[in-house]
Amino acid sequence: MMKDNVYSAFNKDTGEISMSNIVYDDPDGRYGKLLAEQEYTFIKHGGPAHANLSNDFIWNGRLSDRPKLKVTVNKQSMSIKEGNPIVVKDIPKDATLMIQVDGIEEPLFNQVLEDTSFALEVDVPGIYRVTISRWPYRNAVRKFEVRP
Amino acid sequence: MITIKINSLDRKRTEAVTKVNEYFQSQYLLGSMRREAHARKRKQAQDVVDGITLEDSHAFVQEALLRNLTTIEFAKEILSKPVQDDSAELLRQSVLLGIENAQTLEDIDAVLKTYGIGG
Repeated sequence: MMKDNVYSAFNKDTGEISMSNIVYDDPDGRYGKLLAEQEYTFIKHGGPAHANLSNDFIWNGRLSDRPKLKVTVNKQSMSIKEGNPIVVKDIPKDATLMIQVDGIEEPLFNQVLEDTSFALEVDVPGIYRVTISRWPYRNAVRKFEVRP
Repeated sequence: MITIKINSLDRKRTEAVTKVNEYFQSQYLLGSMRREAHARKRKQAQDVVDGITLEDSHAFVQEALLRNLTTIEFAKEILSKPVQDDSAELLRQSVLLGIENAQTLEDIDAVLKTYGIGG
């Protein structure tokens, strides 16, 4: 069922949504006035539910889907013995790259990339997870199995 | 294109060593009061064997009574037991050696699991 009174507050520079609420009893747009008093930047919009804070953003004054970040990988798994590293290409400039492996809590790598591609070499087998983030794209997450 | 070389094993070792040290630190703190009490009781037992008479109200005498022993019997029993040594440090070193010798991430997890350390 469509809702008419959905309010989404967002960062005016990036469009990132900080909160989104369906207001059922909203005579004279009272909730909007309250948000304005508290200096929120927001829009009132319709939709089947409130905005999805992970997948939506506000673009040109409208609720929009965050575009998918498309990257190219040369393979899903590799063998350490055989070599030939995993290569990830077509990354937007200045994206943040985070590399994690199952069994280690802290990320192994977490930096802004100036290049648009990288080769990944690892020392031990495991399930490695690469997350590339660049606003306003949705994060691209790729899992790689590294065998002995 | 840049090449990113990941040394997971060293990172895993560092993380594991931190867990081991935190674990043994907490165990030491838990055990330190018990060790102090044990050392105090051994000294009292030695005093009894050396001929020092304790008041009837003394905790050492009361505990001997609870165990249906005379004070001297209780003192001798305590002195017959081995002194609590710092075997925890030996165990800690064994765990650290296991981590150092591990060749895979799973090996390190297995060492930690063997000793019940970590989540």
